[in-house]
Amino acid sequence: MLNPVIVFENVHYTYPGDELESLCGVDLAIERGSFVAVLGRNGSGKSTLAKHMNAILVPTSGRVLIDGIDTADEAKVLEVRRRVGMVFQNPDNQIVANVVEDDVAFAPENLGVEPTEIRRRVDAALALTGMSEYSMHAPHLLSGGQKQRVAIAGVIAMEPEILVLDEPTAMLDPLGRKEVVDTAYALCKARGMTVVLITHHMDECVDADRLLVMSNGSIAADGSPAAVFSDQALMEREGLGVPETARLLQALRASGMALPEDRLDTEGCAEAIAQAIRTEA
Amino acid sequence: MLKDITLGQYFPGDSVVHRLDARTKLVLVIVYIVALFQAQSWLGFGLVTLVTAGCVAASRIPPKTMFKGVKPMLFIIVLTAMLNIFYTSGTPVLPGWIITWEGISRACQMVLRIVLLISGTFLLTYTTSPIALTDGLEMLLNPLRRLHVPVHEMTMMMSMALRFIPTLIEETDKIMSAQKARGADFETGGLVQRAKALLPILVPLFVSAFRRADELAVAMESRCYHGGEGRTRMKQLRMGRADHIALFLGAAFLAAMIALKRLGL
Amino acid sequence: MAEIKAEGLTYVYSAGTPFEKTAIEDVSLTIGQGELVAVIGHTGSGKSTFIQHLNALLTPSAGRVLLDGEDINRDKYSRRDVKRRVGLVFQYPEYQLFEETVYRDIAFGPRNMKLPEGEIDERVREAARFVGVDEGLFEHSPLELSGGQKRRIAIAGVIAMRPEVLILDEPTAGLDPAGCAQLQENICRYREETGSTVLLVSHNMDDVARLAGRVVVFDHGRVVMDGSPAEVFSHAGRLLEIGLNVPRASELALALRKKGVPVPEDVFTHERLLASLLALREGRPC
Repeated sequence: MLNPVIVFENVHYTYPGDELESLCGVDLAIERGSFVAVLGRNGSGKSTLAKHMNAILVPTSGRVLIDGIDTADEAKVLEVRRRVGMVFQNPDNQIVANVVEDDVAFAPENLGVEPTEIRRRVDAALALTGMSEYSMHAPHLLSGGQKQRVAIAGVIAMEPEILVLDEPTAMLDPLGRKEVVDTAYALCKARGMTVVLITHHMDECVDADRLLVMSNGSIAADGSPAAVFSDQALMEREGLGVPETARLLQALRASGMALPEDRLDTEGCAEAIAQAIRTEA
Repeated sequence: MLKDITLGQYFPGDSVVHRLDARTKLVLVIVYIVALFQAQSWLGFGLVTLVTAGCVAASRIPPKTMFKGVKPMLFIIVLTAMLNIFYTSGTPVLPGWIITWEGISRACQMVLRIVLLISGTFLLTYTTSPIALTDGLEMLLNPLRRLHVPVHEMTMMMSMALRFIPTLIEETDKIMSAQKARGADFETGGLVQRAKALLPILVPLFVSAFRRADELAVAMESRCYHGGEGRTRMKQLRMGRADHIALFLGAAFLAAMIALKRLGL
Repeated sequence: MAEIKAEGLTYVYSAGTPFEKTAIEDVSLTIGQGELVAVIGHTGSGKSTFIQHLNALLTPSAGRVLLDGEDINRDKYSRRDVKRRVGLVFQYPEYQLFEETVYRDIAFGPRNMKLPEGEIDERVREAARFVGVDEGLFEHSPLELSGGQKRRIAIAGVIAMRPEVLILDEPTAGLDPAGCAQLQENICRYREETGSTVLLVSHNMDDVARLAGRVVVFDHGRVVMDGSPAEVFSHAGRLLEIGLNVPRASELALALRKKGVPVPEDVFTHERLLASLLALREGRPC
């Protein structure tokens, strides 16, 4: 890897009071500026993995390096957290203020940033997440998708290099999910942020640069979405299923059609099939 | 419905009252409460009412909203009125009646006092964002830090409480509906039975409040919260000319009220 | 027998205040015994308001709800009665668990019905079986179980009232794919064994396509479509317009049609889509 920004070295973790390990020897390096999706059933360790990325949890053994900084170094915890913005599942439980822009200002205020600079960052973060027109609204009156975008704005205001989203869409309706996922992809593609998206929804992973599947505290699969989804036996075993596009492409290929494996977005998949049918005719 | 409770709500706006510094408003509310308790005659109450009405008008908060805030207190207000009507001695309204003219007058004044007290304090929360309010409070109480009073932590807790009131109210509504769908009955039965009927609401509410607190703590830490040390503020509190004028008017108002009381008016 | 009929149902929130908002307007709908109906619509379309009318949690501003021909809002008793005949499972029902043990929580509904102890016991065991909760968990605190198990226990709490109509608002929200599939299987088996009518509110159109016999679409407080999944999903374009999803297969079929591949409009499952594409290749009509 050319320029890894997150590095896990043989990370083990056991929750206090538990007997079983939640992470059993994870080795992982994530490339700067890439979009990594993480799938896995409940209890597979994917949230535990996420919480290691900003020192909410530190390894029982092994180490995690963020931009070269060891997360176990207590003196540098703020350094780590400033670099890694975390967004969680329940939008209500991560908004601290009664007015959207005051909430977005919370992190830079904690970091002791100058007032005029905070103002600039808050406005920029709200613009990036498309929430500028709601800056004076009360968060509890927003939709779920809007609340999550406020939460994203709230961490972007720290100007982090990495954005980690831990099942940010689990409590949202389809429109809200799309808002949040589109925002995450845009931050990666247009702003060069490294994004780690933890999710249950296969279709949120199809455009990722890399897809990880977690199982029993280890990484069970790691590769491009097309490659991972093509291993149907694995996906079945992990109780995950496969996106419709991948399923259809595989079935058609199995029946002898010349189709690529990696056109997993709806448009691309339709285009590929249409072309194949035309050439055959 | 529970959703109608407006306690601690903030109505963003751009009126003169909204723009005053939170510290000014906090001091003025204290001045206002002291002044209110100086009122003993109809003249005094009239003056306070006039001042309150003036402030509400200047804040452009609809009077209807103000009255909505008073509604949850209705029970206490009615109780106070009753006690005063029936337990004040004086000239009976009709010969032989227990109700006296003095009682009616006392009751009216007490009711007015409670309504004015609520309106004045609510005007503060309606027109001041909780962040500004807690920042203001923190700065006013700052001298206490030397006595090792955890001022920042206290005001932070207050602002969190204000933030979560609407969320928890909404949650209570949902839990009530869910338990009603399971045949729970909150409306009939004696006092003990009714109190017991609240358990299916209170237990889930507490469980959820603790879960929220846990998640919130993690989210705050993730956003680099580490106590009040070295924190800055996006919105700096700044006293301007309007604040000086407002404080001067407040002082004049208090002086007038004290003078009225001294003169026995 | 349990037929639910809504007649000209209208509900206005905060009537007479500046916040007045019509949530549903003139909704008429008949749901027959034993049907499995999916109710779909985006957030704020009125579907949640609608289902809360079916067991008298909300009282209509205009119109009526009839259960087997009788107005459920005729008096206090009918309003109470309907709550046990029409069971409503809210979104994230695990947040309503409160008893010390799993058993007592499932028994809360039957106990409110003032049933004899023996019958309560029978119903608790039956309900637990339907949702796949092991009796070994009965003496555990519901709060120490996993999210998926809590969800099942909460649903059992409603099933234990043996409702003739079971309404579930997003029963699988937030569960992982395996958990979703298992719970759906439980719900289907419950319906087959008891013959109950089931209403399912869902955002997941693939589930709707697979499970429902009938789909009712809400938009802006009105019913805009009502028919079999094949009928409703053949209007994929219109559904996308009103901000809804369609099954992945429908979405792909729509994209294929736009690229000139003549896939029929009523294709909405993977199997049908694959079959029609293979037929097209071989030049057969699909």
